[in-house]
Amino acid sequence: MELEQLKTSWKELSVKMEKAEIFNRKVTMNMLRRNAKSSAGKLEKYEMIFFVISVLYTGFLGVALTLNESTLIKNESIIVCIAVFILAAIWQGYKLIILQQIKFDRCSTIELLSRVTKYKLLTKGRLIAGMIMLIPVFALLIYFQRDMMVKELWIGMIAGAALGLVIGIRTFMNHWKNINELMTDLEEIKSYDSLSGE
Amino acid sequence: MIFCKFVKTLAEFDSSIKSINFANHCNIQPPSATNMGEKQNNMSSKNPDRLRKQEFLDLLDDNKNIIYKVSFIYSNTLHTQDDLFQEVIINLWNSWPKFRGDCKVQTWIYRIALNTCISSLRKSKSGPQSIPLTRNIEMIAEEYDLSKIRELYALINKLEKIEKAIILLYIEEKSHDEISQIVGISKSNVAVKLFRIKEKLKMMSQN
Repeated sequence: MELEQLKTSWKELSVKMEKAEIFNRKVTMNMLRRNAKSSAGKLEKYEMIFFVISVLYTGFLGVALTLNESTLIKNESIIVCIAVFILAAIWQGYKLIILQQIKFDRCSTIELLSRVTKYKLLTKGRLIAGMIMLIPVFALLIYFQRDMMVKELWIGMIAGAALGLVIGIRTFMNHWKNINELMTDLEEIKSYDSLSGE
Repeated sequence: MIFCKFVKTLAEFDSSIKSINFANHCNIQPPSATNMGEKQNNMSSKNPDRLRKQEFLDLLDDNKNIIYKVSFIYSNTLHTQDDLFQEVIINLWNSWPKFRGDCKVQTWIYRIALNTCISSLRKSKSGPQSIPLTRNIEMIAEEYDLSKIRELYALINKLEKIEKAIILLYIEEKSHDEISQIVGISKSNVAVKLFRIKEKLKMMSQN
């Protein structure tokens, strides 16, 4: 089928659609009355919750640091945790900014696809970077709290780490297909970039 | 290693996006007096919210085909046509108060419908139940047309996301100017891209 044939078939279908009952006013009215949220709106809410949690924990740990007497929990351990939550808050904040730039009515198709791809890559990136960063963070925490480490605690930690690794690898494999799809989108956007340079 | 690759890709992507000239395709112009006048008259009624909803439903009724066709083209196993149809309606509703009539209402609907379908932010099983469409595309097409529709769908589905948008607008007989406004590339690039897509489709149908 060539483009002109495709055009003719499409036209025929359009004419039939004009006559068909494809739009249910009552159901749509009910949906509007319920104030159904768009997917972008839901994502924004979700990212905002994580942002607020990160900020609250940073504040809480900051207070804990000033009050801590370094007997059981070392100040260094609290500082490591604060650093993690600050990083998480920055990451979430950046994602929120990108989400707010996704304007369905104002962006062109290419612009929107590029922003959405960037947001999705950041989301996948959080997963990968988070998993990788857990290793040095835990190493530092163990080092600072080494006086606390008894044999039972070591066994528990090793078992937890093994389980975490399995879950992490499984999640990563599940996301790999999506990452590949995002890479294809990136390639497509780049091809439009080279087109504008011609 | 993977993280380094990811960061590198993101950095490359960022710089490439910055170099794309979006050419002010998305500028919202000041509202036209006629359009605003009509809107204000309608809003001055006793029940503005209900009236606004009615006005919106009329708009959907007049342009349901656009939403239906775009969601048909972009529906796949993950996102059913009903899901996309509903998502487009929600986004249109959210953007409706901001529409100031700077472009044709159809252009505005195409932009939102394509942007919604292309973004695929909706997850397959999340959210409220989708609006059940009273007719699906196979019911609309008569039986002898079904093979044509399936072939058409299979061909278009092999294209990339932006290519799909361009070809859809082309077979909808939109001008190069309108395609460039919606997609966000220059008019001359629309011609170049259309030529390449035509070649691609020709090759695919030969295979």
